[in-house]
Amino acid sequence: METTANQNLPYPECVDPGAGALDLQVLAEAIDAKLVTAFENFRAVVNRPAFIVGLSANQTGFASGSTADIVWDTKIWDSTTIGVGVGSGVTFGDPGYWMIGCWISSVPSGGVTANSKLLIRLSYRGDLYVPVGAVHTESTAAANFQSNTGGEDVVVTQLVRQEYDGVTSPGSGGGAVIVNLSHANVASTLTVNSTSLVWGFKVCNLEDM
Amino acid sequence: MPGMTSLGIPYPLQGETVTAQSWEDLAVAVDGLMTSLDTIRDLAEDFDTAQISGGSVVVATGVTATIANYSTESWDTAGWVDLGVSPNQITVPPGLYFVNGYAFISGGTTYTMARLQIMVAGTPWAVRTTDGTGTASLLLASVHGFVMCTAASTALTLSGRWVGTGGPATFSTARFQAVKIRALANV
Repeated sequence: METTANQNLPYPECVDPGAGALDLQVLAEAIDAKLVTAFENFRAVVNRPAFIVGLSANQTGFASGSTADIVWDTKIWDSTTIGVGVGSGVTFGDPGYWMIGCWISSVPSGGVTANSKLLIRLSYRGDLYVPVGAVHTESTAAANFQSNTGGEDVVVTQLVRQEYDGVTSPGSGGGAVIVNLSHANVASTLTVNSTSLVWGFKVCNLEDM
Repeated sequence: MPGMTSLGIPYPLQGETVTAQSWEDLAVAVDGLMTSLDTIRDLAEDFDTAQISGGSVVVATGVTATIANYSTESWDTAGWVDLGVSPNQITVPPGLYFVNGYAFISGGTTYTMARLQIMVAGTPWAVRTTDGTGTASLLLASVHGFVMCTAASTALTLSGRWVGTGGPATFSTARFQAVKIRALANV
């Protein structure tokens, strides 16, 4: 049995009378295997893993002078396996380069300290396999300044490299998106509105397919 | 009865006679599968996207957000834009989209803030407040977000408001763009 140069498709040698039906079956199954792989590869790109997660209710009590995580608890849409409600972040698997982002809508619960700083930090946190227990964090932040105009809305986005395929809670393996907030509005605490969102979608694999 | 691979490529069973029909059946099946593969490959390679730009809208200070208008279709690969009918929106089918908006705000005396909103069928899915210095005569604002559209036809719009003195101010829209990241259902 000979095979073609590039795809290794089988065919009878020129001096071989051939086995008729068996030769055709072997060729059909070889083509089938090639096509199955091709379909899987293209579907992996088209059916790009993604998620959008929100809040079930307003989160209150963010005090000035300290940093606190926003606790995401409501899946709005996801095509991949993600974790919410365990820890504050959104854990997700599927290794690749991911675009992650958030929209944080916040408002002072009472008094406004004019022009006080509001900082939203969007972080990717991955637990390294080696050394065990080490944490790799990549963060991007955006700052606004409090004005008495009905709150502040902030968007933050970054591209991250996700090397893990497990979905576990932050700090115990896998990768997670975490958003935290700090501010200097000493006149009152801040409330994060339930309209806020955190999201992510896979841009491409770690390696070419 | 011929045999068949997992994808439905037919082949004669052992003991059956290989005929021209056997070869034709195999070739036709492979042809159909390759055509299906082409369709999926096109989806993987070609993103649907549109951008509209130009235009302006006058907004009084402090008012409820006003939807921006546009004058130019910069590009539209999927038939989402018809500025003659809907000069203020990109109309998209169900899916997940990355959306970006950008505007100049001018005409006020001082600016405390400007707020741009990406709206999906009238509901905000991303909002950004841009703080002014209090003395600027021109403010630049932008917002981007990842949004979900579930209806057969969904309007994506960009709206804005501002707070300051003077005015009314003009939102001159530099651009509003969307790119489809994926369909809601797997292909």
